[in-house]
Amino acid sequence: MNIKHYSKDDLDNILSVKGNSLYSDAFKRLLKNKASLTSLIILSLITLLSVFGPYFLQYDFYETDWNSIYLPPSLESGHYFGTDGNGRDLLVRILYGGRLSLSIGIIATLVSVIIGVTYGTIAGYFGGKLDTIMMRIVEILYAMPYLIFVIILMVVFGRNIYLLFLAIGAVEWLTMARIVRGQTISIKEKEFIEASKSLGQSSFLIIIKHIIPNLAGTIIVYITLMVPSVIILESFLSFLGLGVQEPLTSWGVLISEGSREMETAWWLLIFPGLFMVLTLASLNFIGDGLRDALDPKEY
Amino acid sequence: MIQLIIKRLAIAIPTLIIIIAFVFGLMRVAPGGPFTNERALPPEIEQKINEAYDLDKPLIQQFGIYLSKIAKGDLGPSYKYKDFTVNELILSGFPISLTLGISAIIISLLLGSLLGIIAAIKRNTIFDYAVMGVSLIGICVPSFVLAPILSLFFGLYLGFLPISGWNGGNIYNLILPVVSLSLPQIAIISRMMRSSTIETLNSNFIRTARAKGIPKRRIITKHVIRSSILPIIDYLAPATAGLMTGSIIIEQIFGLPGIGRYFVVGALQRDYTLVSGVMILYASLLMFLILLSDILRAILDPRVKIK
Repeated sequence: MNIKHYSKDDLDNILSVKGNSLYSDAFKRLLKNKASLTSLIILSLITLLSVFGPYFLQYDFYETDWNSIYLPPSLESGHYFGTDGNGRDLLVRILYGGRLSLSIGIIATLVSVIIGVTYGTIAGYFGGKLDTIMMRIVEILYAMPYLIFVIILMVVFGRNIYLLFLAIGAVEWLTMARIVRGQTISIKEKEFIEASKSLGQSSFLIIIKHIIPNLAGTIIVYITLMVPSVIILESFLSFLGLGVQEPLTSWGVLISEGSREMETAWWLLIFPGLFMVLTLASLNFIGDGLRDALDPKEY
Repeated sequence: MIQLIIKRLAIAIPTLIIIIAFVFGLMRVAPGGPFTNERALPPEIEQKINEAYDLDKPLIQQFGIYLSKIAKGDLGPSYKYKDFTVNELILSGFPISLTLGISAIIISLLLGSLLGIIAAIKRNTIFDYAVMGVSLIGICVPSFVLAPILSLFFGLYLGFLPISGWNGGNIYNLILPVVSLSLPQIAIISRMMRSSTIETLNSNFIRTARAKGIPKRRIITKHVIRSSILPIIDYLAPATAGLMTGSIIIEQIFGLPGIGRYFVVGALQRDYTLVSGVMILYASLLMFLILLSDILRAILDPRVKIK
């Protein structure tokens, strides 16, 4: 019988091979997905442009110029996307609007993730009566036309941008809570949780240290799918005049202004709409790609 | 069946009361009442107005009066449209919103499920890609972007369709609002239907049916649809909620005098009774739809035991 003898070098070689973590594997799979990769590039471009673009442009977003009202897009005038009824450069306004729309998307999503994950893990982990009551509440809230609640909130407490973040976050957590609860229930039956319990770990630490890290994949996927719906929600409110107020602007504000003036100036609707649609589509593709990447069973 | 209905009603009524209390409370917490003007009224007159609208009584009592009136079907007087009651305002807008909503929901259910089923059967063909591509556009292009673009193209450039107004419910005036209202829902429903049909097609009982030699068309109409339509039925209530909020925008864009418009105007002007009235109407409609989808589900899915 041949016994292979390993030298010390061989062993070193074997030991120096790094294992792939679940997430680095998933990331590789995501990059192989063409639609997701393209979306990732487009989204990064839009984000970078929104953050840094305004510094390189010669116009300011609030600067009015009565000599250049409703200029169509052209390269010569320097207004690449044209100007609006107050002679303000559309491109700069779109980029500033992007900053706001994207940050509302991110912040409101974080608010809803925090509420949803806390609520969901508590309901799922403790189970029993508490779970029944908590989920019944979610069920009831689910049936509400929640956007109408946001409208009422905005009317009652004034059109404050921070409140906007909170109000949107406060209605978007329901789906998150449901998903997190379901996952928590299946995770808490696993042996390692039992082991942790038998070692005397407190419930709070089990949730923080063992359950939430195992939920990370699901949460990330839902974040990418939630950001677009938050952006739409904000635009919806701004469209009704209940969201972001002048002189600040967001894509929703620009679209709503554009739709009122589209007969004279089509570019005021088309360009902001294009930016928004591209962002939403990319986020959706990234979300789909992530879901496939994190769940290799699908392959 | 009757038990199911009773059980649902037992949840629905407290829910409605909570909603009413919530809206009632929020509107009262807000700084500034409906009669706060820039020019201050003489205190006696303000006193009289407050008395006439019961605004001088303690909050709990106001709520009690309000609830008992609602139970009789009276939503109270509008605070801003002085000569109208909320009932009259809602009645004037409701037929319009209802026509819009019902046409949109029927179109999106029929078209959405049909496209989804065909896409699932012809999976990975050009038809499938086309349906999924278009539905992606439907999901990513919000209705308030789509509606102006549609009316710009069909209304102004081509001149086929009127771009605003109700015109007594003329069918041509309905086309653009209904299309822009239902497209996002068609997109969502067709995607749901596609994935649930694919799942059903891969399940064991379909394989058995195929092995028995049942023709494909019959398998699909008799077996597949019945099981794959279930998620759509669950989606009925959320879809309606989506259409309600969507119609607020669509009525605004196309200048239709429906209840969505009254809601926005009422909210902006702190017309407490009008806002809560519309809210109650929306909530009751949704409760009714949840009940309807539960019943439909129980009929279609023998696994659901009617508890």
